[in-house]
Amino acid sequence: MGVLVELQDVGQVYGEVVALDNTTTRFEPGSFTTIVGPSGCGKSTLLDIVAGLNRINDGRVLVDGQLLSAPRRETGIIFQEAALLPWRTVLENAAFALEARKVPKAERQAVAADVLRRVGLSEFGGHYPHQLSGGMRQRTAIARVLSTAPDLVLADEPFGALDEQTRVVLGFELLKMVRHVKATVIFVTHSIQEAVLLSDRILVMSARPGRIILDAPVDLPAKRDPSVLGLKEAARLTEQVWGLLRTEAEDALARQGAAL
Amino acid sequence: MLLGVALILAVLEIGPRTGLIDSFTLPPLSLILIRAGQLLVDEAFWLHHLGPSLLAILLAFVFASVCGIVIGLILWRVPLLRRVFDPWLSIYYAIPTFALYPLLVVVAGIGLVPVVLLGALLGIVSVITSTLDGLDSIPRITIKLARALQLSTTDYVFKILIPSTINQIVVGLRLALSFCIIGVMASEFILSTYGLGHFISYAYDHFSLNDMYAGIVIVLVFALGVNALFGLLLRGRSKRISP
Amino acid sequence: MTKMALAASGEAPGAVKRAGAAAPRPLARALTEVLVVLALPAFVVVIWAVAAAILNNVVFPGPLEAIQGLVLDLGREAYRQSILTTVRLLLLSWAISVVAGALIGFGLGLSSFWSRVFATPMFAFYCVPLVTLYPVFIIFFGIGEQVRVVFAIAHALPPMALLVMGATVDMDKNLLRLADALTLPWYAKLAKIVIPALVPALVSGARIALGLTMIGLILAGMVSATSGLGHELVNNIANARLARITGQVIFIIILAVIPGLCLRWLEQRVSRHR
Repeated sequence: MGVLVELQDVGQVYGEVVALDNTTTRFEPGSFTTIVGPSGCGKSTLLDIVAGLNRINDGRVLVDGQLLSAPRRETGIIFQEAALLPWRTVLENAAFALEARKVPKAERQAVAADVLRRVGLSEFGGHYPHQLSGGMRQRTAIARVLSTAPDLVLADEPFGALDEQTRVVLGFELLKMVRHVKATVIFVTHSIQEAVLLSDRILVMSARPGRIILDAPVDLPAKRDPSVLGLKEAARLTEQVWGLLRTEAEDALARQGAAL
Repeated sequence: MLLGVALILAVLEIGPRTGLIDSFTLPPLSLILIRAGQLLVDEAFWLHHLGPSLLAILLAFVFASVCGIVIGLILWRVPLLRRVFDPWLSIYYAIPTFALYPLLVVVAGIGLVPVVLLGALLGIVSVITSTLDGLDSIPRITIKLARALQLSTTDYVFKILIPSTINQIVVGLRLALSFCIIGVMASEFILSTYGLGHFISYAYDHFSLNDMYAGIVIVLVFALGVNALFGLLLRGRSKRISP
Repeated sequence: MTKMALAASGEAPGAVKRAGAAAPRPLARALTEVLVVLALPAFVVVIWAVAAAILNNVVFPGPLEAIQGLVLDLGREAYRQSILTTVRLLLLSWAISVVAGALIGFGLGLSSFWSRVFATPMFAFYCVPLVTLYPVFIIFFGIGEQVRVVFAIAHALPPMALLVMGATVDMDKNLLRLADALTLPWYAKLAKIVIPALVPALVSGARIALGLTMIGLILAGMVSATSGLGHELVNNIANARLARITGQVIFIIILAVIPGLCLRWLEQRVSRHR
C-alpha cells in the first residue's frame, strides 16, 4: 500500500545558491505525481530529499507519518542511469535490493526471476548488463525496485537516456506495475508528454530558486494509453504546462547569459 | 602541485645546511646545482660522459622507432603473426630485459653497441603496440578510399596509414624515449667505461658524492625535460593525452 | 545498437549482443591458447639453435648449451640460494607494492583534489631512470636486503597507485548512490560495490607491479648484492661464461613470464563483463 508523503516548509540551500525554495506539499497514498521543470530548478533535489539522500536545511519531510532523516528501505528509487552492477548478471542485479536486505539466495533469486518475468526479461537473466540495450537495462533497474514491493517509488528522469518509442512503452509498463503494488509515485521528468500520459497530478517548478508554480490534477481517464494524448483535456494541460515552462526556461537562460 | 615541488626543493636546500640531514650524505641543493653547472660546461664531461650517453640514447631511440613502426605495420597486415606475438607484446614489460645486458656485453664487448641495443630493446615494444593501436583505429572508410584509388604500397603507407596513425604513434614514441633513456642509463650504470650512467656509478664508488648528485640531477632534469617537451608537442597537436 | 520498436510485453532480442555464441569447448580453447603462446618462443629457439650451429657453439651457445649451463647452475647450492632469495624478496616487494599502492591509490582517488596533485609527480616515476638514484637509496638504506626491496617497491608502487587512483576516480558514482538508496552499511558498500568495481584495476595493477618489482630487484641485484639472480648474472661477466649467462637469462625470463601470463589470463577473465 502506498504511503503519504508530506513536505513541510522544506528548503535546500547550497552555500549561496537556493536550490529549492521552501516548499510545502503532500503526495497522497497511491498517487502518481510528476514533477516537471527547467534544468536546474531543483526537481532532482526535491526527489533526493524525499529519498533521504539529501540533508535539508529547512523544514521536515514526513513519510507515512514518520520524520525522514535517512533513506528508507521501503522506498524504491529509479535513477536516470540504470546503476546496474556490471559484474553481476541481470538476475543477480534484479535480486540486489533483496540481497541488501540479507534475503537468502534461493528466495531472492526466485523473487527476482518473477519480477524479471513481469518486465519481460525472463530470457536474459543470465546476461550481463553490457550485453543489453539501454531500455532493457532500465527495465532491469525497475525490476530491482519492484522486487521489494515498495510503498513509495521515486523516479528521477528514468527514461531520459532512451529513445522516444522506448520511453513511451516503458512508461506504460511502469505505470501498470506501480498500480499493481499501489505504491505512491513521484516521477521527475522534463517531458510534458510523459507527465500528461502517466500521472494523476502534475507539479511544475520554476527556475532556480525552485518553487512550485503549478499544482494541477490530470483529469484524464484511469485507463492510460497513447490515444489519451488526443483528448482535449490533455491538449489543454500540455499547453498550460508548456506555457509556464517556456517562460521559466527563457528566464533561466537569460539569467545564465547575464551571469556570464 | 607547484607548492609541493617548492616544498621539496626547500627541504633539499635547508635540510643539509642546518644539519637536519647529514651534509656529507646529502649536500645542500645549491651546491649540487653549482657542481652540475660546472660539469655542463666542462668539455671533458661532454666528451666522455654526456656526449656518449646522448648519442646512445639517440641511436637507441631511432632504432627502436623505425623498427618498431615497421614491425607494427607488418604485424597489422599479417593477423596470424599478430596473434602469435600478442601475448608476448602484452607481457613484454614484465620481463627484466636488463638481464640480457651481461649477455650482450660478453658478446659485443663493453662499448656503445650493447648499450644502444639494450636501450632499443626496451623501447621497441612501446612503439610496436602504439603503432598497432593507431592502425587499429583508422576508420574503415579511409582504407576503402585507398583501395578505390588503387594506391601503390608506398603511397598507401606514407600518404594514408602513417598520417592517420601519427598521433597514436607519437604517444608510443614518447614512452619509448623514456624507456631508451632508462635502458641506456641503467646499462651504463651497471657496467660501462663511459657515459652518464657510468659517471654516476664511478662517482659513487669513489665517494665523490657531489659529483654523483650533480650527475643524478642532470639525468633527472634531462629525462623529465625531454618528457615534458614531448608532452607539450603532443598537446600542441591538440590531442588530449592523460599521463 | 539497433533500436527496435518494443512490443508492449517488452521482448526485444534484436538489441542484445550474443552471449558466448557458439563457444568452442573450453578444453579446445585452452589448448589453442597454449599453442599460440608457445609459438613465438618455439620459433625463437629454433632460429637460435640454427644461428648457434652456423656460428661457433663455443663462442655463441645454442639452446642446448644454455640448458646444460643452467642445469649445472641449478646443481650449485649458491645458485639455488640465489633463486630463493630473489623469489622471497620478489614476493615481499610485490605484496607491499600492491597492497600499499592500492590503498594509497584508493585514498587519493577519493579526493579529486589530491588525485590531480599527485597524478603528474607519479607519472614522473615512469620516465626517470630510477637506477641512477640507486646510490642514494644505498646511502639512506645501507647495503643489504632492505635497499633492494625498497628500490623494487619504488619501481612498482607508483604505477599501482596511479592505476587504482584512476579507477577510483572513474568509478560509477551512481553505484554509490544506489548503495545509499538501498541503505547498505559501509562494510557491505565496500564489499559489494567498491571492491568489485575496482577489481579489474587491481588485477591489472598487480600484473604490472609484478613485472616492475622483478625488474627493480634484478637491477639492484646486479649493482649491489651478495646473493640473488641479478648478482649471479653479473658474476659471470668477468669469466665470460656465455653458456651459463644464457642459461640464467632463460631462467629469469621464465620466472618472469609464467606469473605474467597467469595474471594476464586472470585480468582478461575479470574484465570480461565490464
